[in-house]
Amino acid sequence: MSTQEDIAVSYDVSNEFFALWLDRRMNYSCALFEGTDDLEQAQVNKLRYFHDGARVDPGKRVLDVGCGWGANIEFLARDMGVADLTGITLSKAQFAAIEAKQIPGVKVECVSYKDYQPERPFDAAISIGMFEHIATPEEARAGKHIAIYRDYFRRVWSWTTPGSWFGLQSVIGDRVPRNPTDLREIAHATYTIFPGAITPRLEAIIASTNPYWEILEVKTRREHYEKTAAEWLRRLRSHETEIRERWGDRYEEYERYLAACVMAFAKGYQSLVQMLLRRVD
Amino acid sequence: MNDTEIHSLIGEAVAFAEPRLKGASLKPEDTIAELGINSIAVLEIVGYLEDKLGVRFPDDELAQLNTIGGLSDLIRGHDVAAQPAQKS
Repeated sequence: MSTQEDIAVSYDVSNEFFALWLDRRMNYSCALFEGTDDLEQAQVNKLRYFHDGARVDPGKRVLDVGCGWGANIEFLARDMGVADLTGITLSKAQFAAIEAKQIPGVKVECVSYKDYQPERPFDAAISIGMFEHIATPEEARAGKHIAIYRDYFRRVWSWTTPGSWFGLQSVIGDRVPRNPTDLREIAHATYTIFPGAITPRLEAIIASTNPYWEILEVKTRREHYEKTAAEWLRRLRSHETEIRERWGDRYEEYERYLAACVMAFAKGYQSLVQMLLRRVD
Repeated sequence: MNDTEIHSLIGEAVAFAEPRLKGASLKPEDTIAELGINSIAVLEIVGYLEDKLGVRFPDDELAQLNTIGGLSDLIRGHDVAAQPAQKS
């Protein structure tokens, strides 16, 4: 999986930097543009989809694996009235940002999923945009990724109560590009922005859920991520002067990365999956 | 295609993606990593083979291409002569 140093490259750039181009809740993942063209609403749609899909209600104890800056757990706590929430992240900057918010009912830990041990089991789990960090490109090339993904699903299973639901969102690899220019742009994003991470193929995720989780729903949202990334890129460009002044070459790096994202989703090199899983008991 | 034709075509594809390997003696057991071929060049090799053969290999089989022999297996495994050409 991505190391804490890898994670720092991806997420510990600066919370203020990401705040300039993400939505106001700081969702660094695909939004759900259903019935809206507005990124803010589309991100709420995504959070609502997982609230409903993971059968979350105010009385349940909920885990968010790879909780980012806390968009999902804050939504569940403040908007949906959930009183017992735990988020885990490996990013020190994200951990500190959530701690500073002092959200009622929310506990956050800066820990790898491989080392995590909950005090008590959860009634529901959600993981948005973390699966890409579970296996490294080297592990995938060596054919070890499915065993690693299966071990992840086993762990989440072991942290939950019978009957629990698990909402999962991940970028997935789809068509493999052959065009050298496209390949170079995607490689830049993979190795420079997200070192240690790789997008799984959908069939690899499906193969690895067994024997722990039953797949109840699979939705692919390629166009939604193209739209999300295009809006991030538009916002980034609208802050070009400030970003160049405060973060220098970071502007070029992220403009290139976000443009590559738009291209990769538009051409079908990458897609996005949302899955609703139920624990096999 | 017979083994000689496949081997020759792979040599062409490797030289296309990595000109420094033009004329190199490639053996089935040679690993792509040992030959210094990076992941981008591997896919350029695949693209060259597909263009020449008029086929498209399944994407899921490309992730674990590790050796020159793996490229041969890819070509043999997809019975390229039996596939309709993709270009007109």
